Amino acid sequence: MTVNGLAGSVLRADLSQGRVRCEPTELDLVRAFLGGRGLNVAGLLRELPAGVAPLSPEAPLFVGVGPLVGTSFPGGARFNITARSPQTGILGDSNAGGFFGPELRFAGIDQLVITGKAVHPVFLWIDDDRVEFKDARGLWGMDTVQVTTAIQQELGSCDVQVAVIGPAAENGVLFSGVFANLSRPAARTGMGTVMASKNLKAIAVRGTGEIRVADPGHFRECIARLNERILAHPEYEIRTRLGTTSLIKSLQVIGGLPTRHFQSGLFEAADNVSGETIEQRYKVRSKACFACNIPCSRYLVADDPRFPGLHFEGPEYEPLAGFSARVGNADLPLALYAIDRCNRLGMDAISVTEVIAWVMELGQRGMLASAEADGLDLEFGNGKTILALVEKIAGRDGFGNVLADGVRAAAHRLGRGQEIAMEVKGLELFQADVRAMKGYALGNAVASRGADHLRSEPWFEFSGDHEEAIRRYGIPEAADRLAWKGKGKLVAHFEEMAAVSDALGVCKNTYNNMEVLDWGETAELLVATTGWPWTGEEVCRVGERIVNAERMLNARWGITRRDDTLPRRFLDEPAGPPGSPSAGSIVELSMMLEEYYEARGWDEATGLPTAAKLRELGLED
Amino acid sequence: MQPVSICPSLSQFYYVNAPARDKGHLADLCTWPGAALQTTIFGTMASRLIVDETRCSGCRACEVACSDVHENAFSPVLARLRVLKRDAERIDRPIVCRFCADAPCVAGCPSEALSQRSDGVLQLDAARCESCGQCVLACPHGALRMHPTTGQPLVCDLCGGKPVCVAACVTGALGLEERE
Repeated sequence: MTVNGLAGSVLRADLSQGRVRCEPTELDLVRAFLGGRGLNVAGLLRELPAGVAPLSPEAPLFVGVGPLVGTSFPGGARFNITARSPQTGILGDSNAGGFFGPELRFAGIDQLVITGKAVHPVFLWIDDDRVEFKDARGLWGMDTVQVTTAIQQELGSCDVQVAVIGPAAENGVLFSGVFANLSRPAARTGMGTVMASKNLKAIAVRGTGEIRVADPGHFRECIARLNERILAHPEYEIRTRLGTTSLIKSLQVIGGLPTRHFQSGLFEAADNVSGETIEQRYKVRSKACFACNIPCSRYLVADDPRFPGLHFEGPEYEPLAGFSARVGNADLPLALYAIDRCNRLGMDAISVTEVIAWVMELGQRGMLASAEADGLDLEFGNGKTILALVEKIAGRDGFGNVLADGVRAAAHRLGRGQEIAMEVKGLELFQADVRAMKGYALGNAVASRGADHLRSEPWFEFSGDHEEAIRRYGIPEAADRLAWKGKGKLVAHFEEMAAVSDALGVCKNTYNNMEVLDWGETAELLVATTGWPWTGEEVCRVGERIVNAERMLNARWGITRRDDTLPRRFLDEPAGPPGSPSAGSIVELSMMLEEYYEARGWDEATGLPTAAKLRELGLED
Repeated sequence: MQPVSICPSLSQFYYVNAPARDKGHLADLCTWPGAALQTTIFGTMASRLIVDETRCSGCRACEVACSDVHENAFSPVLARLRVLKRDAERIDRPIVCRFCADAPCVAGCPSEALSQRSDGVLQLDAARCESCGQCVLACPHGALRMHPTTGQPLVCDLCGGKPVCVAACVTGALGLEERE
């Protein structure tokens, strides 16, 4: 057997037939798409029949794990879960760390393809090469923590890794995620809802196999260099202490918090809810994903009489800012409790906090009466309302039913509030005011799964490093967050990096935000892994190919330039408040888009890849 | 599987009803609900492994590094140590060989394949080992596991004095104390 760093197999499970089939991983596809997100989009392009609804049994669901997952690459832990999104109708794709991805690889699996619908709830139990559909009728209705524990007990081992859905997914909430290690969600775009539509409550895996790379000695050298670079990075210390929660303070400094539904970039209670405050009051211990040397997560125990026994791993910045600044809540324990509820119920905290904040702004503007919303007090920051809505949404209960399809659908259903719905292509926007960061604004407008920062994460625009900006993009302003110039090239570059990162199965904190490997070094590592020749240019091409393939897929569902836009607020309303470091800024989107399509080699009028570009990437049909 | 004979004070830490699949997975059955976090010093002789559980991030880089250098493969089940994890109870506990004085695993070996050097480190004579698993059953700490294909115990050799697990641990949960 050739040693190439791959686990070796694609496992196909047909839930309707109750059959599984194992195929060798296609090396040509790995060469072109690497793995993870790349292999998944290749699978969707090839296997999703035209006209199949996202929640129909025929729609396939892909779980991809890249070639560095399970190795000593620090944070090579991530899995991607991909299907047509029930929430947006376009590409659905979400990614999580923890320990589930590596375990799949140790069981010999590079990709899992799930189709069909079981006659009753089941969970898939992969015990190395033994695969079973197990009865999950007794598990249906359990929250993510309960079901994880119950499955580990049933299987007799806490070493079994489990990815589960919660009650929200079962109830058809369209932004339900897939949760590994209790609080590591692949939350975006409703992949949990797709699992529920197949009557699949969980995927459990134990692998006792091994991953072998082509040149272990060289691989070790590459990783040793990488580790040195990570440990010496200026952000290392803050990342190990606070992880992404440090962003509460950093975004407050530039006036970029999503306060009260993006009505202000400053949050007066930022200190109350900051990562530093969590560290001081509640942090018990640092936590990390598989083999990662940046333990950026934490166990916390929040001692608050209102929420007895509140303890969990987390949170990340996104849910934290969502349940504080975005909904105008200064009560940290309440925010943490709401995050824990979202995790247990199995929902995307970004989408949940958007619909809550949107409702509160409707209330503030007199566009929605309390009586229409189950009598809830719609004032920003009302803790009772926040907690009540989390439960109502998850249960599709009362007014929660209106919100459970996402903010775009809710606005449509109520017939109002479209102009303040903070979404792109049907997916809710993350926790930052993009008027304070133009590259992120463009990134959100063009991201292949709808509003999203993790499709590009162009951190470089915060650097202010003009010389480097000229070297990379030929335009000094690419390094200035409030400038629009140069952002087309910047975002295209970072989209490729993000795609490669998701395809390899590594974490964007290191690969994108800390830029610990350039294209050439990534190629060197891939040579050591696969034993195949790779150049930096080829690695970059894989990223470009993934971005283009996702665009083609979205084009099938009618996506064009017209959809590459942002909520009106960012285009028309100057950022506030007056005096903040981003005050007065608006997003000059059309200029950036022109630059972007040009950098991509896409048709400027349609925003779609040209035939020449597709040929160049080997993507012609 | 034979009834597991373990130190009675540890029996409460095992799932008694769990289906025991094979001897190699004995330690999978180990659990420690509500146990207090503690710092423990293992090893008795020239050098000792120090485990500070309060600092363990649960990342398992130690397992990965161990299997990498000993087996040229990334595979936690081939590691000579493991991190016992129970997410719901906030447990991340490195389980390492304690290099016990009068090691029960050595005493439990019917074919005299396992021996202990004067510095406490175990040695396996692979030619004599009959893969019977008695050593794994004898270890009261769940620290010994069997190689999934050969069935022989995976014995920690402290990497000749420079353990890679310690080098891979960034939080200081694993440490080495050298004494002379």
